Amino acid sequence: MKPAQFEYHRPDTVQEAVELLDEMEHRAELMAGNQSLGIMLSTRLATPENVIDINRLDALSGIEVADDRVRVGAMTRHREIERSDALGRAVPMLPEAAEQIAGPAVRNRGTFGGSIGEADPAGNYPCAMAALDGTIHLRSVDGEREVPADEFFIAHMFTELEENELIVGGSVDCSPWPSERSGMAFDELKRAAQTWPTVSAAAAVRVDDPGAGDPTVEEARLALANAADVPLGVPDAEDAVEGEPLSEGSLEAVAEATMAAADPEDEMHADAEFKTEAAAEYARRAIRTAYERASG
Amino acid sequence: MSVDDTPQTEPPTEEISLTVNGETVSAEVEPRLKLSDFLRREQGLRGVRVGCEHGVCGACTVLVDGKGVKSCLMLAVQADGSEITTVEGLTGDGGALHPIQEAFHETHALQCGFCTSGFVVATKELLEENPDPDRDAIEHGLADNVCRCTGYQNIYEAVERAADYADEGSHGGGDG
Amino acid sequence: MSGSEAAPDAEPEAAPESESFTGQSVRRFEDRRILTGEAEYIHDKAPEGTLELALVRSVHAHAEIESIDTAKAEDHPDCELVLTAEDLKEHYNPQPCGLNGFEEWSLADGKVRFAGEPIAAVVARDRYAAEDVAELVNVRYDKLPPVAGASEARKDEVLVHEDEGTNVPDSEHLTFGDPGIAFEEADHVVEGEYSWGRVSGVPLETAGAVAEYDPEGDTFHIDCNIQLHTLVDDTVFETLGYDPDDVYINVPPDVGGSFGTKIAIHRYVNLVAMASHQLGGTPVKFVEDRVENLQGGDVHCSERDYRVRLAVDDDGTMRGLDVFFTDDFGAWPHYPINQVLKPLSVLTNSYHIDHAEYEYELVLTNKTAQTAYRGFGVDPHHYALEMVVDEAARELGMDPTEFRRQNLIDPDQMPYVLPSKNVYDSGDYPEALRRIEAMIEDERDGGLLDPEVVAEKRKEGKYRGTQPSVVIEPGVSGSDWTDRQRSDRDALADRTPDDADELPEHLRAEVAEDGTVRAYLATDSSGQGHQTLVAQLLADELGILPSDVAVDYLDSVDAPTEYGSAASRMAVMLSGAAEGVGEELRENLVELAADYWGVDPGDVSYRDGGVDRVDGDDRLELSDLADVDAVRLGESGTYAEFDYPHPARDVPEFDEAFARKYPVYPTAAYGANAPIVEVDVNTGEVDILEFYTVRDCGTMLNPMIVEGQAHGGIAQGIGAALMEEFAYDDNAQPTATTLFEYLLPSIKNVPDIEMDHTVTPSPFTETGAKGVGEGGMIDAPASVATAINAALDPLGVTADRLPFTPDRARRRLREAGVGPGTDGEGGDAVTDGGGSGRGSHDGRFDHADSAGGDRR
Ligand code: FES
Ligand code: FES
Repeated sequence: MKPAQFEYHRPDTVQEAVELLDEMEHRAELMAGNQSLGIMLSTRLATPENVIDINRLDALSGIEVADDRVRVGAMTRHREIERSDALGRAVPMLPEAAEQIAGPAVRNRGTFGGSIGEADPAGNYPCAMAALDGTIHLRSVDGEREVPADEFFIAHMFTELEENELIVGGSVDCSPWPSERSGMAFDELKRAAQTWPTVSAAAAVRVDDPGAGDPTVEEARLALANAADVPLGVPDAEDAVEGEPLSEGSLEAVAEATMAAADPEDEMHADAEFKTEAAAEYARRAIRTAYERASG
Repeated sequence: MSVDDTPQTEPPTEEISLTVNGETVSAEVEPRLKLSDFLRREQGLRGVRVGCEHGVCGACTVLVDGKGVKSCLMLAVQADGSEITTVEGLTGDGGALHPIQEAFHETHALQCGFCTSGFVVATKELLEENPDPDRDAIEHGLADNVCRCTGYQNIYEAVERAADYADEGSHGGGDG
Repeated sequence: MSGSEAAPDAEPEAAPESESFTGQSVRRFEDRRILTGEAEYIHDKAPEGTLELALVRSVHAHAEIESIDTAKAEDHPDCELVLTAEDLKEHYNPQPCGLNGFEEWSLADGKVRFAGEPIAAVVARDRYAAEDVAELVNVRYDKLPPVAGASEARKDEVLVHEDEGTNVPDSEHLTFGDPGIAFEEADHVVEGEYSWGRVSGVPLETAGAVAEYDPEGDTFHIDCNIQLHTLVDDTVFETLGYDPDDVYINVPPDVGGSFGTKIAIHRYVNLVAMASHQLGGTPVKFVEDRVENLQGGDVHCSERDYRVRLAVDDDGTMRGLDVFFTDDFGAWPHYPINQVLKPLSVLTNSYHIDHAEYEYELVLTNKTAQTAYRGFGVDPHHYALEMVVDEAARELGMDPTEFRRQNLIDPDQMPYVLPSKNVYDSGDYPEALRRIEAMIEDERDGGLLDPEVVAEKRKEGKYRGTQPSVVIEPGVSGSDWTDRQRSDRDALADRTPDDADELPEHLRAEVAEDGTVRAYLATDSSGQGHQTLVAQLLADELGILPSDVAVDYLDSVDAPTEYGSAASRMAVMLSGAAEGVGEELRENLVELAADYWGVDPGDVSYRDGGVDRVDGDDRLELSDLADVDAVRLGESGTYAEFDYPHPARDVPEFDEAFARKYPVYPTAAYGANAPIVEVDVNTGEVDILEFYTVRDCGTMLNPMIVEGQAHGGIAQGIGAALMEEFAYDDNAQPTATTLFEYLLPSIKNVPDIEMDHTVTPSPFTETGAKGVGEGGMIDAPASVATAINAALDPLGVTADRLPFTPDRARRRLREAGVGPGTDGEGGDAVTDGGGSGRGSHDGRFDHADSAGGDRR
């Protein structure tokens, strides 16, 4: 499990990085936290001629919360996301998704952008970004562009990203989620600390009046990881809970909508039928938790 | 496989300079060289154990600028300019065991010992962040390390004992 | 040395209070070098100029090899050597196999039989370069249809070995007592089918070997982490075609775990030796990477499909047992084939049952070969038996604990001769059951199992339960029975006990110049703390401190052939050997002193690290004796060695087992477990909330080590019950090739283990100790499974397939009509848990289509 030879490049600025990318295109692989690429290199499933290490691009690291918009730099480590109070207030789903990734050593290295770029359907951030209608920010020598999360993920490990583009970050409009009457949840079925979740569910709920006994759901968002080959939004489930207080009946509808929407792959110890059921159950739980949190 | 089948005779190399357990080290390395292999092979730090090379077992955990990192998933060239601490770097002058090492010994938190360096290093980071972890915090803090021998029972004890030693400002171990 | 001296705040048990160190939780001498990183494991060994080897492995599960083109690899500037089967066949021999008649080369010869089978070996300056070179070897295959499971393999439509003519090269049907009558007369015959997934030890350290051929002496010097290097060295020297005395195999004092698995790493050892030989003596090293280890490292273990029948009467008496299983051994029947026989040593577990049938089929498929793993085939047997016991209790409408209690072997029946002729030495099983019930009593009243809590949890779809039982761990295997499958079985009828040939345990000790004692073990260790154990034992024998005893290891040439660290032997065998060598050494020292003083040996006596003159005039300390000895010529008076014979040899109760070559395990440790499980019926997730256990392994030589072994064993048992499996797809491609798929229990999966001990010494061993190395792994899977049965009893679902993963749990629940979204009200409870139920009184199983239907 030793990587094949490659040339190593370590740009100091984003501009330098995109220029290198432009020059090399498919002959280069970007190295962020290396927690997944490192495995591909070790097994020689990835044998790039060039590796562009973007770990020194400090400009890509950090979290900004301003004017109802949260922006997370691509090189922000899971650890920082997990511990960010600002994120915890504005979009608590992101820290909750971050803290469930592996253990501390992996989270010290793994990055937001790396996970988005890898586009593993089981990945936490792709799912969270899909649930939150987030935006992915890309940059190339030609400038920046923005792609909505639901358009960014195209298929299993396949995205909108062009060969000469770099993910510089992601952003979320948090205006729909005022903290005093919104709740979020990221809940995953994971069989051991060291492995990937079998399925995860990301939910956000806004209610009209958290003080009321059974507040009405004004808006709901639900996305699932590993229930399809891309992060799976379930609009029917959202519709089912919006406009009324959450009830066992509407949760049942969430589960049914999820079952109908899910289209997972068979895996060892998790065939499609099981994953579909588990997705439905976790969808139900995430929505319920988000609602409880929104209701104070 | 790269397109070019003819083997490169001169592998690309990079100059690096870093601090390892307090000593400054300079080396010329192939960029593909893993930090784990660099530390084991070139620096003779065999306490960096390698159990999986895919980031699961945690045996290779070292501190890079104070943070726990799986050294099998970091390249040596990436450590350029960093400060690395391995389990060897915890042992004090004259071979005195660090309170964490002592606590692992006293509580029988190791059997075959192959996971031990990683657990000790991960415990160091954990206790620095949370000097008095409860069982949940220990579980969370050591979630990146696998032990096949101990069933983790005595590892909890070891971490708790090490935390007590840190509290007392010294450690009880007398047999260094 | 460090370790045993008590730390100032040490817990009381760490400070020796009594006369003896044995029995104390002496801290380990091994720890210091490990904790500081100084310990040298095999991965760390690299003599000057060492080259590294990498393997080209088959991508197909079953294929003819059309051609192997090595030209490009050889042209690579870093390439030092390429080997294929052709080269091997020119110079060496096939590797010995577990069954006669199999010709296995260290590299695939003409045909590959499992995905990951090594085809070529390349050597280069380091592993990076070796992998570069390996990529350039071009293999052309002609694919054959693979056979991916035992039930399919038994049809013999596709043969793994054409020459063999069948995929079932070994099977046996044994009858004990009169099971025919028992089954006919019993009021009920209960039958169940249970599957045990392919699991293994997966130690954190992979296999490794460094070989250096010495052209001058024409000898091989091999460092490697093979287990039982004094027993299985034939798999190396025979393959190389050398005398045992020319192949020195050394195992480092520190091995990163083995659990039986490293017994079968000879392929790697052979290849590095051959490579060094071909290179004229340059040292060559191989370190297996994790993917190689999981996929094609010859180290998987039992994969069994059981059909079990139990004959019971209305009053709850167990009358007869009938066991049939297939074991999917993979492509080659390697050494540990006898793990299909070991369950005979605990055939009826803790129950008194007089009549039994036992039949197995050892099946070959296109998977990597099996090795040994902690439990050695007993773990699935206990699981299957405990499952059918639960099934019978259900059928009888009896409380499963009462049903068990009623059939437990009574203490007055000890030593108890099983129908299969092994003997349980001692134990009070009813007491163990009583104790475990007492331990969980609090949980039933205000705790985890409080009826109100249980009812409340069920509303959330969380079903809790536990099921106490007593499970036996056979210890201290004899070696004679282990070649039963290579013996002429018809001739066994005429054998006498005297024909049995047992291997003793060898131990040496000598006094060093400074008066400390150096002991030499003829076995290898992999984390069990043998150095500490021997230091404790010898310190007591010689009246010195454990810290004054250093313990080292012998290589395969120096050491006599002996069994070694397996089958829960060491505690017992080493205590016997230490007692013997201690006595011998004391005698020699007495003679030496008497000789020095010119007095009769009767006038001197050994006491606490020295020899006194009885008249009180003089004393020689051990260091003085070393000086005295140094100037003496001839026989050494400061040295002793001892071969401790196998303890069962002197116990007449074992004669019949010896005569028939049935498994002989003279100690029976036992555990009574009650894990409290919670099954989330909506997701199939099983959570163990707390693991209660009472254990008895006779005298505990070092309680700290005993508990540690049990903790680790229980964790592995939990892994086997719920998480771990080497699954294969229909093309016989392995689906667990990284540790993301082969799930080792993480710190989040292992619950608190609440452990209590009782001590019933063994009458058959020197110190009363029993073998304990496999505890936990042997008993926990059965206990977790029956706890799940108890939890899901209201829904009629059982854990009839291990690992009982969430998807399998959900499948069973779905079949029982428990839909997702269950809140405890829903669900059509049916009482027939998949695959089990009433059996027939007449006749046994229709083997052609039994055992192993649903392989999903
Ligand atoms: S060797 Fe690095 S995590 Fe296992
Ligand atoms: S002590 Fe062996 S793996 Fe932890």
